Amino acid sequence: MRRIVTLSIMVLLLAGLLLVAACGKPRSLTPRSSTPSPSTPRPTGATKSTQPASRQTDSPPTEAVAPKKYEHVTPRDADAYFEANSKILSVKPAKESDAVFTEAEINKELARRGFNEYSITFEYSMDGEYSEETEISSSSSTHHPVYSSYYITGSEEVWVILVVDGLIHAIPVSYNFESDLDVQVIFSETEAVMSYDSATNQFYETIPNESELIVNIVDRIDTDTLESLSTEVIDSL
Amino acid sequence: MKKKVNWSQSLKVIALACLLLLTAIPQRVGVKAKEVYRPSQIIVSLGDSYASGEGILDFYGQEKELSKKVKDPNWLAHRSKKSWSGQLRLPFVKGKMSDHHGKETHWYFVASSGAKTKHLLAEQDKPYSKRQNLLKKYQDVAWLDPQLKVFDQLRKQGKQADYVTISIGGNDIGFEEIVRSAMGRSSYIQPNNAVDLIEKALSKFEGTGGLKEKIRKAYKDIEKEAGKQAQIIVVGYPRLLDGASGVAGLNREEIQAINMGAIKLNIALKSVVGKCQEDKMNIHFVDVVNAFEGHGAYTDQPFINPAIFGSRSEDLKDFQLASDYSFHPNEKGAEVYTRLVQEKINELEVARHQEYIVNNKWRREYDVQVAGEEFLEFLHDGNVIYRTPDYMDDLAWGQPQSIELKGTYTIGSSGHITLRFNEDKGEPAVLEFKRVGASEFVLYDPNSPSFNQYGQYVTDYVPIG
Repeated sequence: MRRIVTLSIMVLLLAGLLLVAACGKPRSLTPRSSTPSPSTPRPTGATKSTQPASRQTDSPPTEAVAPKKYEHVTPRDADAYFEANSKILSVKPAKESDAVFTEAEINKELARRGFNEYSITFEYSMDGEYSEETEISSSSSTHHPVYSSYYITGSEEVWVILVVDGLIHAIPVSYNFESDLDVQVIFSETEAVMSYDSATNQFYETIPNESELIVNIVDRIDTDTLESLSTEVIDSL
Repeated sequence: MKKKVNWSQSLKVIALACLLLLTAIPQRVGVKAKEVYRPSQIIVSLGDSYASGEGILDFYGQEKELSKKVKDPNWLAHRSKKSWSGQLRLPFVKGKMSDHHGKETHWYFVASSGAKTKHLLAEQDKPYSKRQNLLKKYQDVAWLDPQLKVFDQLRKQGKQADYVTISIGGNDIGFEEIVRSAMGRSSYIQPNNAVDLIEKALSKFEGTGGLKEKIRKAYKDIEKEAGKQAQIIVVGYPRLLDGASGVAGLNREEIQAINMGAIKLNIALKSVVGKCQEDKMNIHFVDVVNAFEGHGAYTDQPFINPAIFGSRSEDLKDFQLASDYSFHPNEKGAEVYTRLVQEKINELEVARHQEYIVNNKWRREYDVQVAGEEFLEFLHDGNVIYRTPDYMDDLAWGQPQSIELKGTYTIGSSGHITLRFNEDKGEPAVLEFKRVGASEFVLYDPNSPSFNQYGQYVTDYVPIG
């Protein structure tokens, strides 16, 4: 009988010990940072995690717990986007276009417009394959769907020059970032804007809705024109 | 007239005496005389622009003439006087780390803007092009020493790092380049360009020669050079556009993609740190994402600089599309980094302190009451320092105060000292207790108390009743 009582006491003590250990609150070093971010981006269709918030910071995550929603970025559906935000004039596969410049041609074309101070780069092959930004060779006969360069005016306004399927556009980058407008402003020589979608490797010639893009038309995009387009001038357009 | 017995006081004295007796016994039996606690003294700050303080003026060396600053590694690396690493403190070191800059005592600051993992062991090129006037222009490529070379310097000085802080990996995947590229584009003209940029970056994480492998090697190299005693604190990256609802030129998917790049990078860093911990490395990860939540660039209260177009005064080149200051933590952001890293250091210091207590290597802690406040005792540079138990929490935030207390002490036959804070019994001697912080004061002992034969500095207190 005494052995049973002794054993029972030992079991109870052990259980008590385990209970105490289980209830022991682990020291939280950064309690404020254990709340998951409400603004964490979640792709469409992703279900809300039911995992307790504390799991995110209690132990160093391993590859196994890396959320799948961070694995890939969902590309934009260009067809649906332009359908909803523009008047589409034409859509054509990039490989079928005969307006695309070679590296040597774009070098000459931009130099004629005064854009010879800064490098000209490309990122896509005619197959739509993305590579890191690469500087052109002035003697290369290779074609690329998009070329870009930039220009800084005497008043330190920064412009990006984008040439898409032979059409040239100028983006007043510093103006756009400092502007209160909700939409981007660009300059073009035509009412139509040429876009390139790498996901489908297609050119889209469109007239954008003003709620999506404000297009200012100028006779010619060159350094003289950009020098004349100060912030005040753009505001007044 | 009978003197009234103060039982409470007596019990306290008895309890304290018992405590001292109990703690003293093991010392006499098992501890070597000179085995003492070595307080943390040195922080080495490695890494990239997020560690150097890029974008927060002034940089060290920027006050120099142009001809001299283009040769100054501190200026070339854009090491800020207000970097978060310079605001860190160690419990036994007076002031902030930045108070010791250039003295080669407590802080070694070699983080550099633009650094990649390879620059821990290889020189980093720093091309510059600055015009002084119409006639004079400085244009060349400067080279910064490999960052881990700093440990050679420490070894020559007979020192060891206690902490190594680092933020690295972002430049290996072109983290900043992604943002700069994206901000110069049009999501209307190239609707999936930013997505391609991010996807390309994400593809660099895995596999042989991938980011994770590079980072793991970097951490191992640090441990090898710094020594196993060093606590390595890896600091993550914030979401640059967290909370930004609209940025001209960037669509929602692009903002999401840019923010996601930071998340993915942090997950990789945490994962590698976790694996290094499994290898018994003293390495820790400090995540800053939640603390920056809602404070990305282009929010109402940003902790991150916006895009800054064109070159600014301390950029290494007179002409560039965007300043290097762009998309780096501002002063408020640096304060957040300081707070989070300091919390980690404090946590590690407490753990280290407790370890010594547990191992009973050197008894050095007493409960002392002064005017009802409790203090713990530490020893530093021959001074006895008293700190409140919440000193560690106050460390980063307490405003310096200064009060003076006066008291007397007696010295026993074995170096045994009795301090009396409000009584004038015993051998009169004025001591200065200078309060140097919200929760700390230092006893400057003009008689330089010595250790007893056991290597202990033994004190005995009569608390205020």
